[in-house]
This record gives sequence, structure tokens and C-alpha cells, in this order.
Amino acid sequence: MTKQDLITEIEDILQADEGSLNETTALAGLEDWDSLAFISIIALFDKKLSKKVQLDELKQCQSVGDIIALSGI
Amino acid sequence: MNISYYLPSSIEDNQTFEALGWPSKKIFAKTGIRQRHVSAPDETALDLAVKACEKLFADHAVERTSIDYILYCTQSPDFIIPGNAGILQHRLGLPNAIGAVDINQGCTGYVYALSLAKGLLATDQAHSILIVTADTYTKYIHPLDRANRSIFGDGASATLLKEKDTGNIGQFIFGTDGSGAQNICVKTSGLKYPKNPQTSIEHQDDSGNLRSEDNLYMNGSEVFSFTLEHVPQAVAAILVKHKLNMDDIDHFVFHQANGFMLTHLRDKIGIPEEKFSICMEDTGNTVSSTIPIVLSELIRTKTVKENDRVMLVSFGVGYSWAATILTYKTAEDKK
Repeated sequence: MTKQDLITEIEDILQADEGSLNETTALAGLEDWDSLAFISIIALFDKKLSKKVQLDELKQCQSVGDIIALSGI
Repeated sequence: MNISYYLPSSIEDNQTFEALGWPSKKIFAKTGIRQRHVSAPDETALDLAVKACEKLFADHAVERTSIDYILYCTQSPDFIIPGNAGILQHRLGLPNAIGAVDINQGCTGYVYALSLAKGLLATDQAHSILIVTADTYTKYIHPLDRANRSIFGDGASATLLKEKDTGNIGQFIFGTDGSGAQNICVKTSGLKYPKNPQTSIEHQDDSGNLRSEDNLYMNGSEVFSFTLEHVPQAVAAILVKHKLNMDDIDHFVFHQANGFMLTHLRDKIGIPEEKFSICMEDTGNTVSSTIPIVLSELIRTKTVKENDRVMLVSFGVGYSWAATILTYKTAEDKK
């Protein structure tokens, strides 16, 4: 999975328009960045990256780039 | 093994939550639930339990005098003192020469009850056991907690297990991790933290849900992470214990926590869609009643056939998890 693939998945989870997010996009301003999104991101990391991500790590993410950093991509 | 269940008549569909600002389509996409049954203000879990038992007796011509033990699983008791199983015995008009005990377990309750019942039957302590699950979690949920309101529904189930059924119930595995206790809890539900004006103060969480310490709290993300780790392990462990492979199982019945979680677990474990039951669209998460409700539906629709192997996996509040494998045999109804 490339960085862009991951951004596309995050756009899908956050119901953001395709191409509307990039690494610098702030999460705080996104309406759908909530506990349901956390679950979806945990599921995404588990399914597509076989990687366990902690809730505390997700809560500390300020930007889309921070989520990508957690993925190690 | 006969099973019946009862759901309260009042229904909350996803349109109900539109007024709370949560689009009904999103609720369905995230939970797999279209509606849930909600008990009336004066209707308790024990009331639902009585109705489920009466339905069992009527549907399967069960003689009340044949029952010699009640296992009543609830986390929504009418009373802490006395226990509820005794009241159930009285309300159902069952004999006095009967054992009756409450089990305080949530989502894993039904598998636990099967295990305890098997032990009682196998050691000749009882011959015909009424297993009852009943919960009204909705009474714990704050009206403006849309996350929990959208998931949980109320309901009760009744199962009759006889000596001859014990051979159809396989081995069990159990798991417990009390470090997750605070992730699904009602803080003031016991004596440790008595209710007071402070505990009733409402707080809004990051997602806009309102609740106080007197309400049900569930950390959905943590619970999801817990299931990702332990449910696949439980499936593997129960197969090993029976010396079986995935292909040997005809039906996988998991606790119906929420549709999104179930689909993810199914794909992660590699269970074929046609063998995996998702049956919560019209009921929501009814806690310890989800598994018997699914079993009842598999039997009613004749989806489960004679000698089919059915894996039951339950997980949730505690944290607690348990699994077993049943071999389905058609019950011999008297009528």
C-alpha cells in the first residue's frame, strides 16, 4: 500500500471528497473524525497492513500525515 | 435443545436518531442495525425473561414440573437482593424442588450458562435446566448517547437443556482480562461508587455523546481492539481443543456486537460468508441474548441441519470471552 492508497482509504472513512485530503490536512476540522473513525482506522490498519494501532496513538494524531506516520509507510 | 426468545414491542428505528443529528444511513453502515427493541419504562429484564420462558413452554410443550434448575443470566437485575432466578421460579409457577441461581455475565453469558448447565447435567445434579438470558441495557443508556443507543437493544431468551443434550455440547475455552473492566461499565451500578448528585452530572464525549457516571459507558475503539486480538485466538483454540479444522464447522455464531465488527472479524479469520451468521439488523446488540436469538433463527429457518457443527464465540464486557462447539440435533417436541 502506498501513501496515496492510504490517503484514499482515509478519505473513504472520513467521507471526504476524493483528492481533498493530503498529509498536511488537519484532522480537527473534519466532521467525521470521531470514535467511529478511530474504529475504522484500527480496522484498516489490521486488515490492509496487519498492524496494530493503539487508540491513544490515534487520538494524538493532528493531521492525516500523523496517521500515515503510524503506518510506517 | 429448544430455544425461544422474546423482544419488547416498542421499536426504535434509525430514523429515530435523525433528530439527534446522526444520519440513519451512516448508523446502518457503521452498525449493521436498522432497528432495536426497547423495553417500556415499567418493563424489566425479568418481565422479558418471563415472556421468553412462557413462549418456550408454549412453543415446545414443555412441562413446568420437568424443570429442576434455572440459570438466569442478566446484568439488568430487578434486585441485587434477592437474586432474580428465585423470583423467576415463582412467576413461572415452577416447582420448589429446584435450583435457581443468577449469573452476572454480559455478552459471554450464554456460552457460560451452557458450560455450567453441561456440568450440572453431567454430574447428575440436575436433569432439565432452564437457561434464561435477559437484559435491558437501554435503561442504562443516556437518551442523548447516540453511539450506545444505536447499538443496544433489549431482549430475552429461554433454552431448555436436558441430560441427553450434554453429548451435543462440546468442550469450552474461556478467557478473562479484568484490565478492560472500565471499557464497558456502568460506574455506579454497584456499591463501590454509590449514585449521588455528582455522578449524575452529564458530560459530552469527543463525538458529542452525552452521558453521566450513572449511564452505560463503552469505549468502542478499545473494545474493538480487544476483539481483534482475542476472538481469532479463541476460534483457533476451540478448534484445537476439538481436533477440528475450520472446514469442519458448518456455522459460526459469534456474539452479535455490531455488524461492522462482525464483518471485519469474519474476513480476518477467513470464515466463508455463507457459514457466518449476522443476525442483528432488527434486534441490535441484545447482550447475552444475541447467540440464542441467532441459534433460534437458524433452527426456525432450518438453516442448521442434523449433525451440523456450530461454533459459538462470545466476547465483551469484563473483558470476557468464551467459545464452544455444538453438534445440532433436532429437538423432540412433545407436540
